[in-house]
Amino acid sequence: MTCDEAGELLDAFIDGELPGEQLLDVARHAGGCAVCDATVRKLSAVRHSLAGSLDAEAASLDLAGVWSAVSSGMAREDARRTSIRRWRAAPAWAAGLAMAAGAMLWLSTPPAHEVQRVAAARPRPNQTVIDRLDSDSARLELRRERKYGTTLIMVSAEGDGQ
Amino acid sequence: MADSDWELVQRTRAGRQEAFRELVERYQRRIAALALGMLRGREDALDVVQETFTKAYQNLERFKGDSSFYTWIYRIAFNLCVDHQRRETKEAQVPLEPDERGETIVLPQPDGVPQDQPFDRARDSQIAERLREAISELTPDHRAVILLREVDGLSYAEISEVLQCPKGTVMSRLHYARRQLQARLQGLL
Repeated sequence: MTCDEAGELLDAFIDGELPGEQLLDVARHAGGCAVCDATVRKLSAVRHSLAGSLDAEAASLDLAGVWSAVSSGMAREDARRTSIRRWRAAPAWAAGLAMAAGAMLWLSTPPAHEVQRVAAARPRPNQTVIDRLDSDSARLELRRERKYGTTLIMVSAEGDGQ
Repeated sequence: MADSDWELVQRTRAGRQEAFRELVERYQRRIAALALGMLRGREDALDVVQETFTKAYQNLERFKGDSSFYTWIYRIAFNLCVDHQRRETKEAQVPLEPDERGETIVLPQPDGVPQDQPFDRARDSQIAERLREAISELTPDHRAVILLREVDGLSYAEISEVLQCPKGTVMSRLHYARRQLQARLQGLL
């Protein structure tokens, strides 16, 4: 085995990820090669330093509050699941009732299409649009003044004066 | 004999919260080590530990047991770390200086070495400092590979499962990350 061949396998070698035969080949090569042996030692030293430093820092972290924070999150999740379950378990008649109430509400609303149609027509220059009339009994009268080109709109309700 | 992870998962699903507490206590420190390595800030690391287990509980029904519980939970933790980093990158106006990133890492003394050795401590803190810098310069993917391997001791197959990438990619990232760290520690090891 050459140094190049061994070099490609050194990481897997120190990680114990090589199959038996290859593991022995690399071990034999490194045993007789000062350069590869030094690389194995350096890689192992890096590993120990890294693991040691992070383990020590993780060990110094105060994790006492983790469970209480997690259990609060779990309680919220349980509450959410319960409300979803309740909603799904609602009887069919409740859904029917909700639909009927919606339909009633829709039917009891006076049609607004006329008002909308009038309002949708935008006045042209020198024109006006009556947006809505609140009274059903209102009378509308238009009086045109030909001389000046103006129009007078007279609106009156029952019993009212003009 | 301690219950297996799978038994604890099943008991949690049956509504036994103390079973999930056992899982939290079993893995919280390992997740903390990963989060510390990925994020550096102790508060951020603690947030990730808490979020990891909360998210695991929320998604426990989806865990089918095809993989081990700890590779599944590592995956959640890794994704949360990446999310944190993205948020930090967006929020950061000025890059942090190395000495602003947190407290100095204290290296454990090797067996048999007296505790009060100023030269050793200075050297160890220098190693820790350089390691910290070198890790922070790695991409999140390289960082995750080396932390999962060196700190958490996961196999290549398990790392590939956690990071959802082929085993060959794990090997090449590990090779690169180790050479980077090795170069940083030149003359100290």
